Amino acid sequence: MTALAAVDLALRDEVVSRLGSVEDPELPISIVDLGMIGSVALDGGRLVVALVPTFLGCPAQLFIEHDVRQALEGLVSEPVEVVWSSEPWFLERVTPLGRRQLRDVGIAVPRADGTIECPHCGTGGLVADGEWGSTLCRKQAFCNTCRTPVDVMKAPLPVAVTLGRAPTAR
Amino acid sequence: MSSVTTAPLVDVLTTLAHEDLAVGHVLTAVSGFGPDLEINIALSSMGQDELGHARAYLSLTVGADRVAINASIYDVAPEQFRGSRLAWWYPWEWERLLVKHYLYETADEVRRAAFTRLDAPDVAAAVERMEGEERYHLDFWRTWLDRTVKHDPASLAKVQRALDEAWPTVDELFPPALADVVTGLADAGDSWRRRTQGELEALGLRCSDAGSGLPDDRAKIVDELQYVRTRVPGSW
Repeated sequence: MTALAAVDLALRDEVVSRLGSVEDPELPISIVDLGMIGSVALDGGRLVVALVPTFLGCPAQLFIEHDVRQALEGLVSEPVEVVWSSEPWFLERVTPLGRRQLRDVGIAVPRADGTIECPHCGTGGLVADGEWGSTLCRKQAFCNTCRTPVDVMKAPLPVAVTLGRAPTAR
Repeated sequence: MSSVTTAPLVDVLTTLAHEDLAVGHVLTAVSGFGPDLEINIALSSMGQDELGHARAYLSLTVGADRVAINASIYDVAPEQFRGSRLAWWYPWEWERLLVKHYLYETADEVRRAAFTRLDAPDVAAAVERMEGEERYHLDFWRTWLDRTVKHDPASLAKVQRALDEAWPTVDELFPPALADVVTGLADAGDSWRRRTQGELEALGLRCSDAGSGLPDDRAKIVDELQYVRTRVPGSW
C-alpha cells in the first residue's frame, strides 16, 4: 500500500477536495475539518481511505462510509475501500475552519490548554454540566455570562495503558 | 494485516467482544433507570461506546467487513456467545447496575492494560483507543457507587445485596484461557480482586464468596439481540 501523496499529488488533491463535501451527519462540518481522515493510499488500483472515528461507538460511521464511497466514486477503476483506524482522535484534529463552523452553530471546541470560549457571547464563562451530551462526541456546559446552555466537543481522554496500575483516581 | 494470528488470541478477543456486546446492549436497554435525563443519556452513551468496542474487537477477529461482523453476532446460536455471568447479567435495579458496572469496568481496565503487553500492535492500538473512552465510564460508576452507598442505610443494604449476588462470580472475569494468552494477567487479576475488595470495604461493603451468585441471563439477552433479525429477515 502506498500513500497517495507519494504517487499522485493531483489525485490526492482531488480526493481531499471530494472528501471535503462529506459531512458528519451529526455535525454540520466536513469529515476533513472534523479531522477524521487518517490516511488515503493506493493498494494496486484500489483507493483505501482510513477514517478516524471520534468515538468507536459512533452510530454515524455507516453513513459516513457510504458517503465517502459515493464521493470518491469513479476516481479510480476499482471500488473504494473504507477502513476505520484505531488512531486516536483528539480535539486538535479539528481544523480552524471546522472550529469556526462549529462555533457558528453553537458548539464550542475546547482549546489545547483546556479553556473554552462560549460560542454565543465569546466569553470564557462556561461551567461544565456533565460529561455526556446529545452525541458521543459532545458534552454539556452552561455559560454563566449569557445564561445559555452550550454543546461542547468531547474527545476520548489521552491515556497510556499500563498493566496493573492503581485504580483511576476520581 | 491483522496481528491477531493465533487461535487462542482470537478466542480471547471474541470473549471480550461478546462481553462488551452484552454490557452495551443491557446498558442501552436500561437507559431510564437514572435519576434524570442527563444521567440516562450517559447510560445510553456508555452503552453505545461498549457496542463500538465490541465491534472493534470483532474487526480484529472477523475482519473489518460489517456484514461479517453482524453475522458473527446476529446469525449465531446462543450457545456460541462467551463471557462471564457478570457481563451477561440483566441488573433490574439501580444498585445492581452500579455493582455490575463498578466490578466489570474496573476489571476490564486491568484486562485491557494486559493486552498492550502482547506482541500484537493492532490489538494494543485498539485497546488504547478504548481506554480513552472508558475513563469517562469508570469515573461515572465510581462516583455513583460512592454517592449511592453514602446516601442512606437502605441504599447501602441494597448495594450490599447486589454485591452478594455478583462477587462469587468475579473470577470469571479472569478465566484461565485469558491468563494463558496474556502473561501476567493471572497476577493482575488477583491484584484487582484484592484492590477492589479494599475499595468496597472502605465504602462499608463486604465481599463474600458465600453469596447467592448471579442468574444466567445470556439466553434472554441473545434473544433480544436477535429478535428482529430472526423474525423479520431481510427487512432491516
